[in-house]
Amino acid sequence: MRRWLSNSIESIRTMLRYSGKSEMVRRYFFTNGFDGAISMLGVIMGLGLLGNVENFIVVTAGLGAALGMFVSGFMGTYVTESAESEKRMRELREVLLTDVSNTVFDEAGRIGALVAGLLQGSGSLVFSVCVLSPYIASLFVGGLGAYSLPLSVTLGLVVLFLLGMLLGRMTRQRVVLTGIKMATAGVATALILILIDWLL
Amino acid sequence: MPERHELVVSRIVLDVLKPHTPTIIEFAKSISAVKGISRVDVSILEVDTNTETVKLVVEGAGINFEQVEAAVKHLGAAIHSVDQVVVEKISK
Repeated sequence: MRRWLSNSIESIRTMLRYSGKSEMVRRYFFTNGFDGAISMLGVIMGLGLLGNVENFIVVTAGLGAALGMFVSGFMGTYVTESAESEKRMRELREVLLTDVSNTVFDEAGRIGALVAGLLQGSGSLVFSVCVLSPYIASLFVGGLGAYSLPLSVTLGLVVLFLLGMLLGRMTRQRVVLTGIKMATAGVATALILILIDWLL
Repeated sequence: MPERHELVVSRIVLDVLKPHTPTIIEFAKSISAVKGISRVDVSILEVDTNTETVKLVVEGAGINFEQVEAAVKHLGAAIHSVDQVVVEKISK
């Protein structure tokens, strides 16, 4: 099982490398994760500031938004990357002056676009659901309802900070600084929402 | 009575144009999976922006050229020329 899993991961990595998408996938997984976490923070804060909104409504709205972000991330990336793969195949055909259909590049282009789409979509889904998780937990654990908002906001900021750190590590920048930058974006979103609520 | 024998291809040298990916290590490993091949030697002759020209030497007992050609093509490469072939006579 472990060997099968490791072989599968290795072959997906190879496909992504052959299709020229490995760097892009890594980068955009975090970007979409950032989008997902911030958007969910916005949904939760927005509904939270309304007051007297049942947790069930927050969970339903949040899951709807998360699903929407998954579909948007998947479709956007899949369609774009499929077109990109076609372009790459055309370029390869022109360079090699030979038919390149039914080659590893053909397979890699198709599988790479699908994997890229799934990873992009799941990036926003995983991180947005992660931010929403205290609300989801409150539906099953009694007494947690009152703490869902502060827990979700805290978790959202922690997720953003960790995402920033990972992104910083990946791009070989100062990890704590990139983490703080990302978390600051979350704080800014929360402050803007509070300001809008105060003005209205 | 004449001696009965079989002709087998034991070495083929090819001039191949391939993209930079797969690397020559992956390329050699993939070609070595072709039945009848026991040794693969790949050397880079020329490097361009998108492609590289390599000298591919395959050795073995009974190489099937069509299978080698298909494997090369599957890796997104193109055979430019067959530069050398060694055929051996094996007594039955």
